[in-house]
Amino acid sequence: MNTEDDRAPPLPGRRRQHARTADAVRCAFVRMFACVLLMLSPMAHALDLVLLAPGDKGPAQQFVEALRKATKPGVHRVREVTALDEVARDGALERTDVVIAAGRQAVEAALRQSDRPVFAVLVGQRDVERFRREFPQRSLGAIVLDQPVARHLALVRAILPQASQLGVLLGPDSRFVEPMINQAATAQQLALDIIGIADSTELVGALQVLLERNAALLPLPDSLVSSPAAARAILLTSYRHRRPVFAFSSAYVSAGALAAVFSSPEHIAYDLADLLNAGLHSAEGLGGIHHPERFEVEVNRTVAKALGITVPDEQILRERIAGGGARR
Amino acid sequence: MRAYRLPGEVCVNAVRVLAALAVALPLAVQASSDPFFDDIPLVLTATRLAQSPLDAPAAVTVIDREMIEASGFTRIHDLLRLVPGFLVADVASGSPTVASHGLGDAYDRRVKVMIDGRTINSPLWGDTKWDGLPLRVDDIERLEVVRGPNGAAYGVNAFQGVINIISRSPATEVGKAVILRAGKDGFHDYGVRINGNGAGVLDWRLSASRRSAVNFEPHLESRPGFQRWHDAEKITRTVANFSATLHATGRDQLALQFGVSEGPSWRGSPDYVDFPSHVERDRSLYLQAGWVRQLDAERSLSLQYYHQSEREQGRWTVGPFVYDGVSYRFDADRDSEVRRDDLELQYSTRLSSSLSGMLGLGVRAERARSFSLLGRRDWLDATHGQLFGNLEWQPLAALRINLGGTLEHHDYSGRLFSPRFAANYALDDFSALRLSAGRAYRAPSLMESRAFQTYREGDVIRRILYRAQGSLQSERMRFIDLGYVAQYAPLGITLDTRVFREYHERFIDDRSCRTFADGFDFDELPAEYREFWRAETCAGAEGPDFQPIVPGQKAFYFFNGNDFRMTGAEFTVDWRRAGWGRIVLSQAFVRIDKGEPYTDRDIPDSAPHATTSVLLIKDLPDRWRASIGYYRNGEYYWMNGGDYIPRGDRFDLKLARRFGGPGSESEFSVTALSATGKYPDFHNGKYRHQPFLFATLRLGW
Repeated sequence: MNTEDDRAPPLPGRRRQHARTADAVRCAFVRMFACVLLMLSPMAHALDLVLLAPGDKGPAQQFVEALRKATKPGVHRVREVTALDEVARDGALERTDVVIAAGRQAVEAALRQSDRPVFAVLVGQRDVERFRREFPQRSLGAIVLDQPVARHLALVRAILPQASQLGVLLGPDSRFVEPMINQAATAQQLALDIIGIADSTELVGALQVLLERNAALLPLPDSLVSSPAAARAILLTSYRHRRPVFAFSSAYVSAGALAAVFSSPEHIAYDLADLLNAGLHSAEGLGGIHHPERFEVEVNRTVAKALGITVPDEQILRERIAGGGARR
Repeated sequence: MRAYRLPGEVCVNAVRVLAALAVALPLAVQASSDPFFDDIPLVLTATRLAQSPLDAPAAVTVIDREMIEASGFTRIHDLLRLVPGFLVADVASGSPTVASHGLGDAYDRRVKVMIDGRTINSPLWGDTKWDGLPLRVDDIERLEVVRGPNGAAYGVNAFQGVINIISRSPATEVGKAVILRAGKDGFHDYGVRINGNGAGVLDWRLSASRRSAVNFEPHLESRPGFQRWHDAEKITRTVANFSATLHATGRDQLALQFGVSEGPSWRGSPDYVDFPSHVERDRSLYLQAGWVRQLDAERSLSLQYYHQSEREQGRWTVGPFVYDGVSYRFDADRDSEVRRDDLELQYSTRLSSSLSGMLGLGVRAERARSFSLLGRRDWLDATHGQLFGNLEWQPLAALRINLGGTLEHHDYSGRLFSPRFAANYALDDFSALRLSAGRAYRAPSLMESRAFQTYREGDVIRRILYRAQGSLQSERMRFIDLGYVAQYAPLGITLDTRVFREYHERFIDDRSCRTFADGFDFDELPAEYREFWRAETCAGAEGPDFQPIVPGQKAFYFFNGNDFRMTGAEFTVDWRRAGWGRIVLSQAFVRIDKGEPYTDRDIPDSAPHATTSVLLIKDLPDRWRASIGYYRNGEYYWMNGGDYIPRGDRFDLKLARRFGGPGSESEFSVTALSATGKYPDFHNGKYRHQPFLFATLRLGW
């Protein structure tokens, strides 16, 4: 996208008139050549994508930068915007095949301010399902941040091979995971002790039960369970019971969880680039909800040492988890 | 005398201020609520976690919440029975006392005690007023006990051990709870706990309780030609404390605590002229405020201030003492007041991938006032400055070298430097060897350096009981310690063993001397003990106010006595299995040489050659849990006012059942402490400690 600063400075007097004529001829020639190329090249199936990433820093921008590096040039037309007004003004929104929205607010804006198919990234599965209920007529696909639950269990199994039972803490936003995690636990031969809480007053009681009965605790992503206040209670109580906490974000590990499996914005960008580079022919190809293929494992060695747990190297953990075929 | 504000008033105001702060804070931390990318405050940082025993530069025993509850103990000092090498005694004439590897008397001044980083040893005696702590067992998260000297990390007086009492974080409790304990001999202990959370950023707790117990019934010491009833003791304490933590930002944490303990103690014996039946009243207050900025997972800056004060009041009349047909009675008291203000700044950081360090400095002002103990009505002031640091270097994955030291200046002991070297070598992922060596000091307490305890008639001193004389040097110890620690988490086993040797120098002991009025003519004394008494005369002039009723009466003074060597070994095996329970077995073996010059026969006998403790916790079906504590000691002596303690066994039993909703801490239990009955405590001839049998109901909602 050109700006005023990118344009050539104006030429003086007669030379200015000659230059204008030459520019017009040159421009017409370029346009004609471009039309021929478009008709002849594979770009005949390229998609017009708008990448909506509000803000100038944070996860959304990490995602944008990684996507620039990861996508093959010329496969699709990608226009990066921080607000949909920018494309709506010149009518380009009507020609857009898919709006890729990074973050919860961007997804909501894309759904409300356009009628184009939306592909969500950097959002949780629960948010995507809520949007689908709220906008049932719209086409909404996503790569969610939630890991497949089997991946969480595989991490627990990789670090605590002898653990027989795992405590799982769910909140109102994560209750929907219960059937899936039960299914995954059967495959891992791991018994689960699941407690769901409805509000913060039930948290400490649930923790007492889960930490007394189980070898480790897995709180799953949820606005209640993941709040800073809840995280404090979870980590302090787990430490009192000398039980490790497995988590779903890097921040949780820094705060005191033993380990986490998670996907960074860069991972999500490369996953999306895989979809785009594969020669997507229509917006329908971006319709489903996908879990991230790429992931990272992080371990808090200080906590591991304090709990007396020997944790293998992160590379080994990734390999054990990826036994299921996921990419790292 | 300074008038204190009512604790309740202070509490209410503090709650208001903190609540206002919580509401005023930007609530960004909870507004966006993105589970994947929101920052979470650093909770379990290296400074907050108990250091892994594999890496620790000193031997550390952790008494965790599970052990605290299973032990059945309702008083904090009793928990130390679970630490290898520790001895615990109630003293009918004063505060309970503890000792690590012997050398104990009624004033446990060789073990440093801290609550959440606040030193609570009294500036006056150097001891810990265990019965006056403004904190109850129900308030404690865990005890971390450094077994052995650790002056390098904790400064002067961390001599034979450091007891870190860590209170429960309000974030780990919810709702309200009532605790009711009642038992034999009028024992009762009622408490209430209220927890709250303000706007997701303020965790707070208010805890209040009242406990009353008879520790000693009067004991009749009887032998041919001698009978005497010895001291009884009944103690009632009301304790209230408030704790709040404000998570101002993801990186900053502000903490405020304050509390009070107050109540009477009924002590003495009706027919004991020196210590007749009477009532004493003790009160202690504290206020502690701290700020921690967690710069990242391994760098933090903290600032802490605390103020605490203790007041003891007790008055009685001693006598009658009959000399030459004249009967004398004197007013005696134990009135004293001490205060401490302390400010400390500490910075911890990682300097490189293999090097981390900590640096801190602190200043402390202490005051004491007691006419009956110090012989002066004004405040006695002392200030201390402290610079401390620690470097940990890991040149190899398996080797960790720790260099630490504290340099401090004490008003009454001069400049002292306590260094320590430690090396931990990991044999594998589960076990490590530790070698540590260093030097530690114990500075004389105010009583040891400035005591002047008397009986008076008006301004006339009729008898001197304690009298400091000459300048005392700090006790010094060089130590070497070799340990082996293993943590086999998959098997649920932790093993902690060590052998140690300590070289004690300038041990501060007390002994008697004879007091005479200035200008006393020794020729008035019978010839057979004239020279003997002259040789035993207390040093220094007594002054014109001293007019003894009898010449040559004994007074006690402190002096630098024996150098001696202590050698020992100890171990703890902790095994737990989820669903079954847990067993914690500890044993300690100690030997103290007579030393040179051999001045006190009690020193080598002050540690039992062997002590054992076992805590068995058994999970039973239907939320029942049984626990048994077994404690065994070989024969030993408590020094000074104490005496011989025979070999003994003690059993404590507790049977508990949880009820209520899942995770509820509601519980009913029956506890028998010293189920086998009375036992000799502190002085075999004088005291028999009462057993405790009580029921507990804890209701939480």
